[in-house]
Amino acid sequence: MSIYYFAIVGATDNPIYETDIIPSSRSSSLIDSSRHLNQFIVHAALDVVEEVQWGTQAMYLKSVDRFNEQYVSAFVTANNVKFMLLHDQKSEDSIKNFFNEVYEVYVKILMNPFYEKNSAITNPQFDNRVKLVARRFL
Amino acid sequence: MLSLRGITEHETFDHPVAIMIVISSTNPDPMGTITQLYNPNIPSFTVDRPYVDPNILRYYVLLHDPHTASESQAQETFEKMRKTLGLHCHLLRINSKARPPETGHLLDDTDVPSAEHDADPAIREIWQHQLTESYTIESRMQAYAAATNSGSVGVSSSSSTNGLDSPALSGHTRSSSVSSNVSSLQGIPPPTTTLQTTPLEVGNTSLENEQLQQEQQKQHEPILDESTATVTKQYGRYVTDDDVNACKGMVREFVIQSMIPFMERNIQHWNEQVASARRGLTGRLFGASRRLFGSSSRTQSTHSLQTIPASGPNVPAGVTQVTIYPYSAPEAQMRKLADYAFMIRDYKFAHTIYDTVRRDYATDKAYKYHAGTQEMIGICLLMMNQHLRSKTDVDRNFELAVQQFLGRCRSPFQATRTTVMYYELLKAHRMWKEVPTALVRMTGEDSDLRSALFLEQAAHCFLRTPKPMVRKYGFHVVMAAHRYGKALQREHALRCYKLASLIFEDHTWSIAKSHIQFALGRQSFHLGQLEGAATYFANVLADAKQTPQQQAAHVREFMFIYRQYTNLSGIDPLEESLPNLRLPVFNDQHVRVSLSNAQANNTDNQEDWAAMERELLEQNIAKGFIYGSKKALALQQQHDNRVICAIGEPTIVHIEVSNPLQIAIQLNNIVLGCEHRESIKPFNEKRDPEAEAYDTMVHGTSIDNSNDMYSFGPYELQQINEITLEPMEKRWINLAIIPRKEGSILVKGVHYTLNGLVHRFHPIVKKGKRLNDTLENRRSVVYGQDHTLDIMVTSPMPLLDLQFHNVPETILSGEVVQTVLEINNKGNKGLTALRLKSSHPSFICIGNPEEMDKQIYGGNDGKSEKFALDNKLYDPSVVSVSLPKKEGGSDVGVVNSGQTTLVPLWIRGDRIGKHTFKFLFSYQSEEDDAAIAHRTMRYTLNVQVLPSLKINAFTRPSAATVNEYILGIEIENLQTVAGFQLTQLNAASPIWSIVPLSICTDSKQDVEAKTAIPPRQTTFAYYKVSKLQDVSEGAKPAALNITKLVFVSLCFHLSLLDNTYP
Repeated sequence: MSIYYFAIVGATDNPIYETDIIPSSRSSSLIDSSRHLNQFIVHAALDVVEEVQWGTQAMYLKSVDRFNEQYVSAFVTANNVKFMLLHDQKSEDSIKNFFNEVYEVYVKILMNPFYEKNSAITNPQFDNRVKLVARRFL
Repeated sequence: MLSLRGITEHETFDHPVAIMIVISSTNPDPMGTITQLYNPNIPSFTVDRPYVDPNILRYYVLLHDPHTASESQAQETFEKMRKTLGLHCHLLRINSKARPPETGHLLDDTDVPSAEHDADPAIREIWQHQLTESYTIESRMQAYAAATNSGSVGVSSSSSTNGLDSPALSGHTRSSSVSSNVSSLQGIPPPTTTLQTTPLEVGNTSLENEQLQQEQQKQHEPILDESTATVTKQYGRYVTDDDVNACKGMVREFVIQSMIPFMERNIQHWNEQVASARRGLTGRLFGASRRLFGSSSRTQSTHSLQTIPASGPNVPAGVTQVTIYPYSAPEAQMRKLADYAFMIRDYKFAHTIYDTVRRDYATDKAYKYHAGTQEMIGICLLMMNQHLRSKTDVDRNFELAVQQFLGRCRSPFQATRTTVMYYELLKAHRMWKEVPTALVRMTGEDSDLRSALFLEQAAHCFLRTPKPMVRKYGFHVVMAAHRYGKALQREHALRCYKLASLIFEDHTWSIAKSHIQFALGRQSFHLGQLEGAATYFANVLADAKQTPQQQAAHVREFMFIYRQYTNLSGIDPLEESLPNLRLPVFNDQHVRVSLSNAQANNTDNQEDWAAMERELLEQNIAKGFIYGSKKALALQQQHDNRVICAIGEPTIVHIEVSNPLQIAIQLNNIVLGCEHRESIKPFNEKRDPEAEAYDTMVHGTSIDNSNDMYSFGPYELQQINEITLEPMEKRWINLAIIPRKEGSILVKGVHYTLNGLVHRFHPIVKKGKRLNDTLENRRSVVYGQDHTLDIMVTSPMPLLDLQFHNVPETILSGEVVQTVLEINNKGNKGLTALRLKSSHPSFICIGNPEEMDKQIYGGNDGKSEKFALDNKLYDPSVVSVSLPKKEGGSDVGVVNSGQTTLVPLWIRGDRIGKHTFKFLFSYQSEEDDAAIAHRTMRYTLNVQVLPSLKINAFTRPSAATVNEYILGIEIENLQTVAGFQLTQLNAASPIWSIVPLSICTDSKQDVEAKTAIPPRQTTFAYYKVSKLQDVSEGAKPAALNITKLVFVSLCFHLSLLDNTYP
């Protein structure tokens, strides 16, 4: 299992949820050094997402960008909220499943009348669910 | 990058096409010199490589100077040259008045008018530019040549007069190194300067213009050298316009009549001889058979690969051997054919040839050749002025070329050149999107500076795409900056990081942002820009997402830099403010000011309180408690929503501070920044927090009898010396102000010192209510002015302080409890007109001070009592609290300054549940005050009401007599532990009386057994209701029967309302 970085980016380009998905066997110190790099890569990939999203009907945009050995897969919701996953192995199907599951959880968050659109998601339950989905599919 | 190229084995662009042999007309033996100069049997320095084809065009030029030799002599020599050497001859006349200083038999230097030097600067400039540029290039090449070829013989291709020997050259900067090199070569009579220009002479028709200049330059060098013997770096002093034209003419003739035909002939020849044979079926078969059967002999044959010792400027370190094709090999000839075709701009043909020969290279594993061909295929595709079939194809070609140059050939120079070439072509095609891919490919680890440059270019290309990709730009600029930093180009790194910080400025990508800020801080520090460094580090400090170790390191580094910065610039860090320090975090919106009598933790539901205050004020005005000029004043006061404070009364400012970091921080010398005004009008001007952030530390004089209060003239402030905020801690800081002068005090912010080193003033700006009145307001988010931090200071006023005594936390439903309200006037004036508005009027009853000892359930056993009730409707939530009357004074009650009054207050559990009673008191001073009409005070009380009994009552007519009814009461105990005792039943009615039926009141045991209700039990009690005889009938046909049941068990009571209709 490799390392993933998952971010949900609001329509106003702000990250509303971020998480590192690390297998328990690896130490987290490895991640700390590359955390800003992850942000940079995902942020830069948004440009490509905005280009690709109008060329397809699908929400899942597959792998849109790559940097060195890392790929960025994206999923755009109807709200123009983007799910970005940074990964180093290509496995389209599992990533698609992951995105779909996360989308379900996200829609539940969105249905909360107290949740303001494009604001940061701090719900710990959401965090747990995303991590659970990640363990299942990635 | 493009002009500096040595001869390489894998491409022929740098191989000579033609050679120009120049001889002076004064030469006594022209033919002999020519043969000496160029002997095809002795390979020249330039072409002495196995992969360079020595079969090149020779072009002979007779340089004729009318001042040194006669016309006829020149013509004669020229004719002789034509006869022996063929058509490729030219007679060039240079109208030079110069003469070598040694000979001295012609015109003197002094004869040359100085005006003539300046007369043709345009002509001189032809060289000026070229020379300076080529000088640097050539000097490097000479250095290389001197290192590698010191032993070899360099046959130069130009000639000079015998007299122009090295003494004349020694003063010439550009040629000095050459001459020293050349002078070591003994036995060659005419050594001259053009050794280094030979590679440049190589004809490349696509660069005609450049070539033209170089040719000219070469032509004039002998003369120039003479002239510069006296005046250094003054080239072409004696050249006239005619000469320039003659030179141009010669070059044109050379190119059109000799060189291009020569190349075309070669192309035709090779095409027929080599290429067509390879292209055809037989050629393929031949190739295949050769591969299949001739593999053993291949290495020895002249037609295939050879290995020679490596030499040349582009050989990577450690490589001693290169694999080459000798020039006569068909593969080499094919390549040359393609290069020639490319040079005369037949890109399509060139492309096919490259493509054919590429396969051969691939099968032979000649990677450098292969990479070079790939590159040329890509270039051909882009140069062909037609629509590109597929962009990826081109990109693939270049990618392969770069990969092979880098990986297999270890030749980053070639790879870089390929990339630059590709980049320039893409630029010319305006294909910005493809550029970054190409450039980023060349950003390996080997050269940080190159990678940085390429990354920066790539970043800028993202901005030029049809839809600018700003975020990509940001990322690449950061990468470029990182590389610049690694290459120690700190200014560039700083510049790039600054560009990137603009992109990330208003985003919440906090980790990326603080990475940039941190890098900016580092680079500025290394560049000695301490102020900038301190600012950038201050930006990083408050980032909560870093690990504790990192945060500690940031804080340490920031402290270090800030100390250095303040030392250097002579600033006292404890006095001056560092405005952008965002540590700790202040919650401006939660800052509030309260009077000393206010209940703590009474902060929420501001809206509710404000509504209650408004209602109370309206009631007070309607009831006449506030009248006359006070009315307007009170309304204004309500509108302003300001804190009103009398002189000498301490006022507390509550500030919420939180530490976002995972390490503890320390705050010292916390003191408020305040401003006193004479006017009591609210402060309505715009404040400028940016400017205020630079406020310096304030110092007051300490007051004798207290240790933390300091006097600042019109007010005194509390100063907290030290607090430590634990990691992630959030806490309230309470700072007191004691006003000493009437007017207004505006709380502007708070001064503090972080970790005992960095002083900062944090301006507190609170937003007022969101405005929603006009369309303009609704369209955008507009906030009104906030006056809660603007304290109004008035002359002495009464100040109410409250205390509730004997308030239980829980009461049972229906239970009544007497509590005592202690009213204390802490102000300096008498308190009067105390009014109370409560949120739960049905729970509350306030009595007179005299009723303090009244019994709650004092009943009148069995006897009838008569009441007269006022049936007026009024708001039960607003009541007056009666105060003790002054002796001899008016009829209004007054609590004098410092006095205390007790008032009884009954609380009844009216509804089950948890209740928060809000009490809002308003009171006035006994003397009229010009500034304020009344003061208010808020108080809350929490009471929980528990369920007790469930009572169900019913009546039915008595079977025995008329006008008699049976009342049945079903009582259920809802408590799980407590039992109830039924003690009393009160009836209030003018015409009905009630008598128990089921209980025998005489027997004590019976009463006890029938009136006790154990937990979770239900009992029934029956009563007879009969009409009183003495009341006249018909007066009250339907009377309201109010029945009050009183139960006693641990002092529990409850009452019941019941309507019965006769």
